Amino acid sequence: MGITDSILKHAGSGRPSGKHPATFWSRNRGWLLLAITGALFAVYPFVPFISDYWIDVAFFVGIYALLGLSLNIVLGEVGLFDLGHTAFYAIGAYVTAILNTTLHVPIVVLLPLSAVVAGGFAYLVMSPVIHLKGDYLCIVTIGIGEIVRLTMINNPFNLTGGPNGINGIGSPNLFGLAVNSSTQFYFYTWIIIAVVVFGLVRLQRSRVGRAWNYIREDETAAEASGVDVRSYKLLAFVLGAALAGAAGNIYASKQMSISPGSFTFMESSLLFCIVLLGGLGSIPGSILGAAIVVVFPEVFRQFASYRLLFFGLALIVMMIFRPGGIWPRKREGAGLAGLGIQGLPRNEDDLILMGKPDASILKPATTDTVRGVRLPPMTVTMDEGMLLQTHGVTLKFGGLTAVNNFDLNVRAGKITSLIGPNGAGKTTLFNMITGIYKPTSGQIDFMGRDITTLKPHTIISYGIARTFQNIRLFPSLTCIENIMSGPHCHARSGTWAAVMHTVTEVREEREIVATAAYRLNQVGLWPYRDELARNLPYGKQRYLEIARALATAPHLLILDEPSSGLNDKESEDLMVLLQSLVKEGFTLLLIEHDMQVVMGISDWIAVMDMGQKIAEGLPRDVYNNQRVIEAYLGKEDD
Amino acid sequence: MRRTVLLVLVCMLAAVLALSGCAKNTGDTGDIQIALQAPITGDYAYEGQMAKQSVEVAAELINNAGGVLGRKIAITVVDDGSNPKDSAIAAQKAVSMKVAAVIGSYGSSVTEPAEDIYEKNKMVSVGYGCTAVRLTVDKKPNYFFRTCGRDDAQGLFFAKYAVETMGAKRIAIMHDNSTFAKGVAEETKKALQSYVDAGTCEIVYYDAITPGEKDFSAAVTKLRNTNPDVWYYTGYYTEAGLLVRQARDAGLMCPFVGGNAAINDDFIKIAGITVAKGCLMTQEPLISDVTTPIAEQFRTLYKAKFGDLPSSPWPVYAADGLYAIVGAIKNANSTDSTAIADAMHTNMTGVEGVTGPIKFTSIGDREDVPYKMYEVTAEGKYIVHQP
Repeated sequence: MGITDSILKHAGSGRPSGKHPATFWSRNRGWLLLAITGALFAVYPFVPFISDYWIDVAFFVGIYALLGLSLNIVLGEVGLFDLGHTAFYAIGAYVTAILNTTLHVPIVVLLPLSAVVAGGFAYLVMSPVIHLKGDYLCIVTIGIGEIVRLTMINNPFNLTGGPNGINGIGSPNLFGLAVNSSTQFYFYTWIIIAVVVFGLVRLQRSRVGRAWNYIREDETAAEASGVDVRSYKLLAFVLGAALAGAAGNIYASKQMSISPGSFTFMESSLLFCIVLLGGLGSIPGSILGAAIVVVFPEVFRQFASYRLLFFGLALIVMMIFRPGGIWPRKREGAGLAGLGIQGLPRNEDDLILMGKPDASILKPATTDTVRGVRLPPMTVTMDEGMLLQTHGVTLKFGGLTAVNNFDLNVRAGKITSLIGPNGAGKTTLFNMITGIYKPTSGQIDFMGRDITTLKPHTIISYGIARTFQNIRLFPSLTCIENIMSGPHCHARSGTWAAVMHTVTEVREEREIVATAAYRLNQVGLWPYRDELARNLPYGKQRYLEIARALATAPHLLILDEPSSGLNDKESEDLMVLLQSLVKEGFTLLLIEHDMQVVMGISDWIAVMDMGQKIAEGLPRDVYNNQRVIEAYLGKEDD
Repeated sequence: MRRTVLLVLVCMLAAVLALSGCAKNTGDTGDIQIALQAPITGDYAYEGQMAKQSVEVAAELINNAGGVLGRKIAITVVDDGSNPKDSAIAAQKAVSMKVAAVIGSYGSSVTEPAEDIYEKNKMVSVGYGCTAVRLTVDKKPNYFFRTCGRDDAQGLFFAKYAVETMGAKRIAIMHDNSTFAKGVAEETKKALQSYVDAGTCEIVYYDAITPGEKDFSAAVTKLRNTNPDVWYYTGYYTEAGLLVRQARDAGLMCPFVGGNAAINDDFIKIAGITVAKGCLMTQEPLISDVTTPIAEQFRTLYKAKFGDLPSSPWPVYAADGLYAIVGAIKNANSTDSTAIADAMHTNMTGVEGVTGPIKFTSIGDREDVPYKMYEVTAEGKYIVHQP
């Protein structure tokens, strides 16, 4: 249970802190801890008073650790409530049992095969329901778990052996080395876990792992930052199921017989316990949770009928004293080294310069494909100087027309403001531009392409970023991690690259963190890089959100009431920042209520009321427009 | 945080150290250590508790009579929690304690992983509540035995009794998809096949209900429409009680025969005595109906220690398991596992258990397990059925 610990600590202690002189211990603490843990694991079965029984207990800790790690991907990293995880475990076990007893496929070959089948099954059953949230998804997963178990009981095609299950399953044979005894199974399992943990630690500290965390923290914000939420959720389920399937393979070959009694709803709940006990999203936590769930009932075996009572009490006590889990993942204080990116400069401040974008980022995309998504062809002719135009955009919610036949023109390199009374439909229009809502009718053109039907994460990678009216950050991630969601949509490295640390992946990760560093510094938050976003004061959270949007390298930056909640001084600072952004080459579109801000910086203003455009023009003209005054103040009685 | 983690780790390590020290090695002197693997917790905890009491009573009787080979018997209980995973760990624990032999366990799919482990470690284990055929027939074990009968024994008994003694023409079989109930049901169907082929009877209903439900009206209606002469339910007592009551309410009056897990005192409570009266069951004889001399002593001591007698027949087979092991040790004149196993296979002369003489076939099944058809009386007692 200490392997990950060491890796994590190593990641966090790559450099000695400035205050203390570097000793051999502090410089190599990570590797030393890893070596000690490895040695403890290797020696454990040979300690004189450790009988086969305790080795078997350690084996079952391993099985549950693997299951805990697999559920942790889904529940801990992405925050999806999966109470039917045993289904995937069962499928792995049954695939192994059936193919080994009927076709005599070797167990070692079945290990990856069980994982693949379980993962494939997860893809099939989860794709139709992956959009469900929270408790709804929870109920669906319970259903899947029960369906799988009952299918096993009902013995389809005489495959599963019904309630009796399947017996006579063979043991793994690693190139002539048979895995048979308790000690051999112990090593076999824990070596597999070591490999899995190695992969998971790397995955956790990669673009993929961060994307999962963004989804867990705020799904809408993740989508708006360019994360393909649906794909990443499915990926988590498939990977989690594959690991559970592998665990099923090991379990089946160790037990030699399996029956549906091992795959009940209680098992799923136990796995849930493991992840919650250990701490959501914590790899060492999952392993420790597994150790507790397996070892405690064994320790209390002496007390016969009271043993589960003591176990239950122990769980309650632990949750009271450590509600966040026994070993939660700590992000703050880990420093940039905690991000697990290789080849960062020794002086963190150097990153800022590395991240300075070259001017080419503001040139229109030349290819028709962004991140594997085909953009619509470049067929639309925009009006002279326009970056974004909406043509007769209308959105109806049932009988209510929120936006009616709206034409919005955003001139490139300028600040355009959209103003209007509360409830006029401004945010709704923004949501259509960024792809969250699809217009009932009308068309949205952006840089020569019709983007009306694109998904939010495609639109953002094409160059429209936004902030939200009520700030949407990823609260339990650090500031730098928040911003790193921006460049996410321009990177390509996937799961395999992240695990293998390929050259491209490492370079991409460096670019991502450098870009984030540059933007964080631009809004003056660089000193806060290792703070959790939720700990920032309100005004700084606004800036953080703007920096996150900037980090996507957008052509058009859409800000929804950026000055709300800011005091006069802060509003003035904001105006300075926005103007500097225009100088840098960004185009801005604002919704704003603060007339001082609007009149101070806007180049063009559109006024919206009841979903319709009532005026448009230079600030001065709009300010004096009779209809605008009426809309804001009401009509004078004659 | 680090301190908490450390504390948890230290606690677990301390527990491991403290408890791994208590291995119970059976040497050449001192007490002979025998383990009982039973479901002390979990779904069938009541069976495990009674098994523990029964084995303790049997051990006391044996020790009072001077033990075996001049040594006393000591019993250690390992809990398998009524599930296959815990069963594997419990078996490994018993093996680690280096006991002379093991009694256990209850439930076929729970016993199976344990059987494999005992077999692999050449340790004699005697099942007392595991009736699935394959445990012996498929595996042909050398170190596994059982004092209870196999599923097909009960099914065969029912088939013969129903057709030949009760003269039933239309037979309904119902189970609950559990390992045990489905096993009995399948063996019954198989045993009836020869009668069906001969045209003396037909199986009009063969289906499962879902255990844990409370309303079985759909199943009962379907069953009633098949108009059976006799209705055999092989599942457990909770559903059995509800089923009979709901069937009688729905007007299905044919004789109800429960398998040996269906009828006990709780069944009568659930069904109500007016409905339970006259219900039949295929059963290993209950301890109260056993007439051997050992049974007499067993009843007296059990009552003195625990009050009531065991309400199910299985715990008594656990006691029989102990008698079988002790008898084999005596005949083999050794506590060596292989010697015990050899004696159990070939030399069980003079070995008497609570339910009578104990002998095993070459694959470890008990020879001549007696079955009886019981009837619930109006007083809620069980008497042997008189057709």
